[in-house]
Amino acid sequence: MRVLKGRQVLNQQTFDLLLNWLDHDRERAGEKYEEIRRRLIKFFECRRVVEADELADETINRVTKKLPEIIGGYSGNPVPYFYGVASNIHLESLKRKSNVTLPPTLLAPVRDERVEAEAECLDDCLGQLTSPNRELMLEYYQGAKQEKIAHRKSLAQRLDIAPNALRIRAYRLRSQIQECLFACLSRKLG
Amino acid sequence: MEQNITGEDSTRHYLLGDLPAEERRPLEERLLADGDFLKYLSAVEDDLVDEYVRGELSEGERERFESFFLITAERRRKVKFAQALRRYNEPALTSATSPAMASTPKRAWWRALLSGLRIRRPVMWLPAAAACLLLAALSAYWVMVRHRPPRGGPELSQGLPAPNRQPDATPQETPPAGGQLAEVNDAVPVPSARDGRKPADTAREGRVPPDVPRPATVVVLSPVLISGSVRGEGGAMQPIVVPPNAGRVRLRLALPARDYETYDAVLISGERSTRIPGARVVGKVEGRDLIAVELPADKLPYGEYQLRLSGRNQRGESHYVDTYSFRVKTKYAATRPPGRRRRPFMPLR
Repeated sequence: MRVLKGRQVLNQQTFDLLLNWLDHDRERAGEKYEEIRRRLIKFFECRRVVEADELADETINRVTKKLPEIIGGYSGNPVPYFYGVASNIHLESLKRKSNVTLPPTLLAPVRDERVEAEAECLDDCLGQLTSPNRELMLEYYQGAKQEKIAHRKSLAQRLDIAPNALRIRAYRLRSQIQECLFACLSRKLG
Repeated sequence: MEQNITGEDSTRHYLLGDLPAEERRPLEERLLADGDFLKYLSAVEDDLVDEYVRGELSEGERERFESFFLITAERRRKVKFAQALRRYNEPALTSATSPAMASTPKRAWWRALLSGLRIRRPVMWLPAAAACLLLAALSAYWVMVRHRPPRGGPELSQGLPAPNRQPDATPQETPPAGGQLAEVNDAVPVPSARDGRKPADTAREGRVPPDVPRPATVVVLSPVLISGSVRGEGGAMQPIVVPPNAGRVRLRLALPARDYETYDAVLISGERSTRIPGARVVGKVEGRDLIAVELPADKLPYGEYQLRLSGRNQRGESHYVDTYSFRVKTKYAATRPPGRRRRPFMPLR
């Protein structure tokens, strides 16, 4: 039994059916499932849904429920089908919810204790990167506006990679450091 | 990846929720179909978050960002990370966000100085600041070599036990040029991958004759330390990163004013104090006189320190000048062999 955050629950049989639809290789199907879920979450986030993960799970649930009816006649990439269902679910969610409560401002002053802990954690987290990656991580995010654009362009030329490849590489490193920082801060500050 | 299909402008508008519906659909379909596009979109999100934190978004964008973009916990987390990263890369900002650090003209000066000179994130240095510090470092080295008493003489041994070194040891300062200066708080004890220089190369350049066997003493230059009266009590303690194989550490102190020719320092750690006499002005940085105090690295294990500085007038009378607070940290190697863990910190207390 697979419990998702949406209202319904998938049993093993329907979940297997879904995986088999995504790919006949079970391992690859599992990867595709996770990837589709990530993209659905981003899709809902971009449509200003607070509980994006819940609607992503609801989408998967609904697709799975419909699967026995459509699987025989459907050909091609399953992803567009998810898109159609996700759009419908978003419309329904707009009817259910009216206002979104925004969080308090994030630009509040920060305690020195936290600043020190952040610096120590970032020292450690950056220390876990290889030297070239550490330099890339620090260099990529320096500068502002035009200076930043020019700097990134020259950095991409220096590394002999396309600007977008550089961007994605920096994004991956940043995500890695972000997770490391928050894990470290929760250890230090509780 | 096919960035041309969806330009960055459209992606930004999409993320801020002001892309027309007819343009939104192909972008959303691509989001679900193209894994690279998800990463690209997330990278654009990171840039938006950075611009928000830096106050670079237009008023309209900022409103959209706060009312549309900033609704999920994950995105708020990204903002918190961007703020932390910015404080880390630009330490002078710490005071700007801390209520304990109200703005004063004095602080405005040290903020400006720190923002250009603080060495915790060396790659952030402006080339001009680096060149300026290089000059100061070279001057300091030259003056100290010229004016230092013989090794093992009274200068350090008055207050400090003699460091572990051979009697004829001559400090071999890490080459102050290029990437090595930038790699580890001014000085790097290991060859830098950035410039490919090795210790042997340094020797070939003539500073240490290759045919004279001398123990290599790595001298670590501290960031320019700012005194407590200038930084204010609420300021974060200034870090000095000391690599495990450092031989000596040269503390560089920015003077609030130059009222004396000679200065004495007392290094205080817990209940221990160490006197370091005879420091002199060795250069100027950003209009401030700079003095240097050098001591063996093993006298500066991981921990927090205060350095009380006093000046000596011509009659030999000593007057308190200021106190400098700093924290010593160890430093990871620039390139760590795979699988090897960093040596754990060993706090004094």
